[in-house]
Amino acid sequence: MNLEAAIRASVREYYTGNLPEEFMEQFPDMKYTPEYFIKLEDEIMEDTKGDESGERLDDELMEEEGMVDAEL
Amino acid sequence: MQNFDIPIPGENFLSDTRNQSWHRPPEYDHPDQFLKHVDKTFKKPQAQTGLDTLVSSGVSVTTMTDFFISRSIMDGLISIDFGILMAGPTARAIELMCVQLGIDYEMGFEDNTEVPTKEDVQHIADLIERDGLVEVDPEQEDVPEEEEQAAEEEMGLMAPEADLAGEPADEDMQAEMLGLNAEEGPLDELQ
Repeated sequence: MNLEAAIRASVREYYTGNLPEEFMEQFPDMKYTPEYFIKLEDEIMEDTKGDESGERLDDELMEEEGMVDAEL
Repeated sequence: MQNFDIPIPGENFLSDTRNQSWHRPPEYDHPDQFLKHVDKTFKKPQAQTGLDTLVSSGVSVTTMTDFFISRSIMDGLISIDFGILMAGPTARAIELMCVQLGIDYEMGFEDNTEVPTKEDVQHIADLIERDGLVEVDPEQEDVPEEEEQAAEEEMGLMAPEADLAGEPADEDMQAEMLGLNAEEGPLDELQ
């Protein structure tokens, strides 16, 4: 596995909610957690009122593969 | 003749490698520090234009993340391990940036680009050689630039241009070139 493949795998795992086991223990004071990003996304959607916001084009593909946003 | 364009044995000991980024501690070792850097970087107008251009032309968020993390590792901002850990949050930050800017994006979790290996190319070449599977139309066959240049040189300096080579122009064209049938207005108008 090269670096590119490792980065892709890491992104995929993050989006399926699989964080490294001791990641949060190592950084207990971390501000930018998955929950933070969910709140931020909600705020952005409110600000842009949903119409002007960018949309994910390969959403259907993700649903078929059973991928969901990380919800912790 | 032996190729002398090779490193001299021991040449690696002559270069000063102390300034290379991977010989220094990384600049960021906490996720918050690095994600602030990501946020700061993508808030620059130039970066936003680049993000818009690339993502709109089909580059996925995962690929953008790969570019960004690889670049950060090369610049000595983060270590390789930390870069892999930070790939997910970085992708999320880039995704939210796209949402905010109104850019439609693809996550691109699956890498669909198939790069043919040497073996694939050799296999195809063998098939072509054996069965002649691919027939190239001689008119559409690409002529290498060197051959084209050589052909031009053979014709000499005074040879007609490539477009004019072949049959002579018809009578009307020749008359037009000589100015015989050019419609000129009265000279009074020019004065």
